[in-house]
Amino acid sequence: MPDTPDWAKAPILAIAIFATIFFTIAEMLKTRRSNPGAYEYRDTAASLLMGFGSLVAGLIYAGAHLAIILGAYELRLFNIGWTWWALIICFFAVDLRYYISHRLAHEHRLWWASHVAHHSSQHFNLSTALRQSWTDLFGIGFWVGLPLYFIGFPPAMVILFTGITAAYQIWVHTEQVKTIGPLEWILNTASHHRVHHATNPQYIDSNHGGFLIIWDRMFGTFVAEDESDPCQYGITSNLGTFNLARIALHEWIAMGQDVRKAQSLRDAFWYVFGAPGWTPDGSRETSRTMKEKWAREKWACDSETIVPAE
Amino acid sequence: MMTGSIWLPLGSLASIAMLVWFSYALGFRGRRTLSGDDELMALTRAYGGARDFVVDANRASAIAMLHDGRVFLCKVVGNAIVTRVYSKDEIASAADYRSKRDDVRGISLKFKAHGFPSLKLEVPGEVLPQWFEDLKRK
Repeated sequence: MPDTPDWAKAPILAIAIFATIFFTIAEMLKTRRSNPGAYEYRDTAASLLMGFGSLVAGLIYAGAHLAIILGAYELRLFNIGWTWWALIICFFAVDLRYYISHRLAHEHRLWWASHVAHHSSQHFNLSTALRQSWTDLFGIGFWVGLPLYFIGFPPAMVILFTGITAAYQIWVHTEQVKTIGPLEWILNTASHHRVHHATNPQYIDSNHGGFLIIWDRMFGTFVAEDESDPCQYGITSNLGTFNLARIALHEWIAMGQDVRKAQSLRDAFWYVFGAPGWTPDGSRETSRTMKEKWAREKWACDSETIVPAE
Repeated sequence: MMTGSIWLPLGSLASIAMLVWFSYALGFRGRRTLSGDDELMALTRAYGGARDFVVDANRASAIAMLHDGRVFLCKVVGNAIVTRVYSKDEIASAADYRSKRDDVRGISLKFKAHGFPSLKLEVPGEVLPQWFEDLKRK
């Protein structure tokens, strides 16, 4: 990519990885006495090795991804250069792309099967940030980003902002930062991301933003952290193992088993593209049914405590 | 180029080993156990309660038979507790075996779900509950 300016070639992810190692050690030292349950060495090992596996898988996919990107860019509608206005639009477009793909990854099982690995720890610390999928080739993020290359944003520019968004999100995986004041309105923060990783019914499937939280506020998926309802991290059916292959593949296998026993093509389709937990007879819970149940119970509880006016 | 591509995974693995060792050395070793029968009963309450249960001698896992006939499983994973509720159809196999210790009997369950593959317990006493014998015969 010969037209890429030198400043845009900064090794953002490498810098982020070194910063993560430094801050992870700092977080361990800080929580050692105040919260001895914050880290667990086998959970930490699983998270970090999942990150390593994701790195290796990413290198394997990189060639195919790059070929598709360059193919899309060849068909571009406009020649957008490295101008200041293109940088601003590209930043917002990449962040919106992240929001859309992340939301799809939570709401449809095909892409949840890949993303679930990131949510599978019952801990929430900086090592959790590195617990990443091995099967992102089949993830949705890359494909949702393709229109940006068709439009004509330089591939290096899109990759740069994708890297910045990914690196930014490392620090939000911590319980050590409570809030950051007025910036909570605009940015995805540790508080917002704690909610995103929580399995409490009122929090589930919310706060999908990457760098900015404005998309959640605009599209109705924002939920604020409530101190009276502390976050319970993990997934609704937590894993009973630290086995890396099972962490990476358990949902793919479960989806395959469901498709195999499907009674019709329609059922098979919804087992793959429906919400995680979808079944033809509604015997399993989806995030929507969990939220509805929670809202009903809360409403009933609130109604009981209302004292009629004299 | 080749050297660089080797150093990236080697450096990553060395960093991982260092961080895991550091977390172990700082004492993040997961000493959680089930605190008692009350905790297990509290965990089963959301599913209508248990009519009977067996708890591992080391309090690292437990199985309860729920009132509705489903099986409640509880396992300490690291320093967290993981629970699952399965119908009998979701259990791949159930077996018991002689333990090395004379005062306990081993129980082993395997499941069809790949995210919660197995559960092992060492249960005090010689006689296992009838519902576990039923699971073995399933």
